[in-house]
Amino acid sequence: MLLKIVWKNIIDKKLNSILAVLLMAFGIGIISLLITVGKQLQDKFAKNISGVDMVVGAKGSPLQLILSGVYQIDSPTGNIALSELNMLRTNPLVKELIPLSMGDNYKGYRIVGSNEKYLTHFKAELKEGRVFEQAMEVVIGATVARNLELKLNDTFASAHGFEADGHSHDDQLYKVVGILEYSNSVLDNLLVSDLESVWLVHAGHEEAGEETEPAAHDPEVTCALVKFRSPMGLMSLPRMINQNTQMQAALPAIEVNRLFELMGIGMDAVKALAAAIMLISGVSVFITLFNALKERKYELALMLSMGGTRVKLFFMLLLEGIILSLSGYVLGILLSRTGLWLASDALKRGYNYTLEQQFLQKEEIYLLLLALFIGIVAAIIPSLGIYKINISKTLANE
Amino acid sequence: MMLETRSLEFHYGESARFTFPDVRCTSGNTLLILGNSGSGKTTFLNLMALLLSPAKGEITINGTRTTGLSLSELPGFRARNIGLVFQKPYFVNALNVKDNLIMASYFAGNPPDEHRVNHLAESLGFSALLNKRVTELSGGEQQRVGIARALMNSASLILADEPTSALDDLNCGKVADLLESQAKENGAALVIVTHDQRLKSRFPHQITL
Repeated sequence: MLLKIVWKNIIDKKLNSILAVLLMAFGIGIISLLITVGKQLQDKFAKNISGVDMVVGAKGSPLQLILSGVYQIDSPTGNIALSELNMLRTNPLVKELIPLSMGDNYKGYRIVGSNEKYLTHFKAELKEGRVFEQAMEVVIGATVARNLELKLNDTFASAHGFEADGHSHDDQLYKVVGILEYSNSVLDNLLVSDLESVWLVHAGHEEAGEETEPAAHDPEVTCALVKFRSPMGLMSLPRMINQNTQMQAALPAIEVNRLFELMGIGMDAVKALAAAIMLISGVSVFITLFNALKERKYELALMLSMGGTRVKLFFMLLLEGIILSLSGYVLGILLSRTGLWLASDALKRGYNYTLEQQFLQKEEIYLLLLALFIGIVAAIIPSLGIYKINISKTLANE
Repeated sequence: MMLETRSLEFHYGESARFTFPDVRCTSGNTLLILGNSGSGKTTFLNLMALLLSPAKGEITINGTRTTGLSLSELPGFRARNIGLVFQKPYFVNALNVKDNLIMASYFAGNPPDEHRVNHLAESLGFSALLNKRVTELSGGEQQRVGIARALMNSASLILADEPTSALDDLNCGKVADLLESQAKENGAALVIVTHDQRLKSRFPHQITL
């Protein structure tokens, strides 16, 4: 019965209740979306970075070099000579060096020329087939295989650049020799071949474009992922490379932190805005209940005269605030999940990145507590008014 | 004896002191307490309804000396033994007629009794209104629902505060009849506090403050 009274009162004040619930939902939704998206992006970024101490590539923006080399999302900065890279390979501070050569795609998914070490770097495992052994053989990531419905022994022509409708290299066909398991890394969205293949495809084409090879006898690559033998490498190598060679060295850890710092400022601003919206929701609950208490003074006095205790009625009013903020929370989480789904869709189209739908995050439990807290605080002051009602005076009032 | 008061006194501060005559009322009977505004009749009713506690004197309801009840026992005792009818019957506006009646048993700690609701609605003639919102009812209809609510918990004492003064002559007669017949049927004592002169000739047993 008490719940019924609470519920009917909420329904009775439809517009006020909807306002409070919507405000809470937006606040919760925005914060929850930021948390889940931010977390997943950070996870993905961190996972792809692991093990890569330095990236060397053509001179340009270090962030761009990291984004293109490690995350395969930005355009490369240009090309570097393999011979120059090989000098680096012999450096005692370098433990491992994985050259990457980019420039082509198949239906929007990048084809990366590298060697087997690139696969082992991500601890990738083959689901079927084998690793590429000769030119024009590719191993494809799980997402690529699923979305493009590629099977073993399928052949295809790559397209120039990173747009699916770039110039097509019809004279050289790639052949799928292996399909990888999901590794939740960039590999999922890549087609990996050996370096030779990329040179082969582009040999003879000296077209205008950013990926132009100036001379076939001096092979070039786009960049290389470097692992150091010791932290000493971190101290000396980047400086050495940046000062003495045509190449640029960028440190993923630093660049990614810089990126998250930049994103973080924006995220913090939006979070603050969302928190303000939640607060306003609290204020709206407060106003709704405060007015209700004035309007329902007679009802409350009546309930008291009928044997209702003040404690009971206090909790009845409190419950109204709690139900409003809880409904707002539930709606907000639903909004956030819808947003996540939309964002995942957009990211997939734009960058071939996907976000996963997840169950409640730890932070979202905190949000629940926050929503409850706001609801209770907003409701408690008006609710306390029940202790000030003078039954006989109120009911005798004409 | 359902109701008995003895040498009741009540003070609002120092200036306004009220002393009330001793009254008694047995089950099935009606006592009319007449008085003009300012005579303290509402205070008297609030004392009998246990909404105010007297400065002096005693009230015995259904054999219980109410001055001996603690503050926490009072609401429950009131809910089980006293039915209140107000001049303007207040309702919980968000609930329909039926739920407003069931609410009375809820606060008295009784299980919801739809039988009783239907029975009262039938004998007070508002069966068709049970699912309506209380705000849609006319004054006379509201007053009848108010009477039904006072009877929901089979109270032994019905206290009515100006139950007819907001009604026209026709409805006044009807409500007075209903109050009396329902109190009789339920074996309750009925005390009406009013300044409504129309009731004067209707109830022989009366006291003027």
